[in-house]
Amino acid sequence: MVQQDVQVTDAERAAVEEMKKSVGQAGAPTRYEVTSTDIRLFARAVGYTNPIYYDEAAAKAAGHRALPAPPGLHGRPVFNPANEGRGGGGQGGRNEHFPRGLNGGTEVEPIKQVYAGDVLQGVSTSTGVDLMPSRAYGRIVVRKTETVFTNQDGEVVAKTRGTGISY
Amino acid sequence: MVLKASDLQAGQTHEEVVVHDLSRTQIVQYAGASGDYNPLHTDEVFTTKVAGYPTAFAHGMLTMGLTGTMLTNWVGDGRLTKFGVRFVSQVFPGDTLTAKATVKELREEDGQHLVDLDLETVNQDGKAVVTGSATARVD
Repeated sequence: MVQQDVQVTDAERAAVEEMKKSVGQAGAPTRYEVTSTDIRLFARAVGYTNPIYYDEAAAKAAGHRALPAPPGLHGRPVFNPANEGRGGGGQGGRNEHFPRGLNGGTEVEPIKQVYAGDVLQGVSTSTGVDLMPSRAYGRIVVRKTETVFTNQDGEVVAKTRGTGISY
Repeated sequence: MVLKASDLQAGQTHEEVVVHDLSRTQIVQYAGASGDYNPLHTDEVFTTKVAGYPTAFAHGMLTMGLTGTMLTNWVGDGRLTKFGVRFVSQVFPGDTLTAKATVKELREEDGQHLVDLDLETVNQDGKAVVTGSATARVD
């Protein structure tokens, strides 16, 4: 149930109750491609200097079969404009009543090394939706999800648990 | 380099400056690398005039990634079995971040040596921007 001490409009409360219907439901699988370019871009953006993330020869010399993906990188959703709402980034799970979002936290459970060339499938399940008071925004919706990533061989390579904040 | 359990003890710390004077360019690089184009991170006019923030700010996941470089530099690549963070304060252009891991516990599970770590990344004012925990295999 929505907390009673949070100041919200009836429409906002109804929107949250609607969001709660998704809890426990898995979304459609999303295809993620892991390319050497993605790995190099990610590694550069977060400041890795280890050559295994940039140079295939260095990666293989270190025992990897290709460029390894740094922790937290599971490729990139394959963008297709025909699939509305996918691949744009940063807008998931919000609606007209709570149009803006922030990332509240993320937990990554790496299970098997991901490499350039892998094609992953991610399936996200909503695990919680709560309306909460917020000093900054008056009220926020805290959405929790778990995503399971499986590689092209059907092996689970990682699980992530995320906390999204909509306001 | 791979850490050895015999070289670690509870309370031991490791820290690194993971970014000095964070540039807007690096934030944009991360937007492109991650596919997260939320305008709060790259559109100054939207962020200040519409969303009401003092300036555009870094993706939480960029700060997590920066913290991750400290971890893998220390424990070695492919050694993390868990890595979780909370984003407790925003990171702005110009910030300098220092990530620190503190050994919480050494244990053995299924014949593997594991180290549990508490994590904290702070800005140049000593304010925590990320807190979290991680577990890594050690020899």
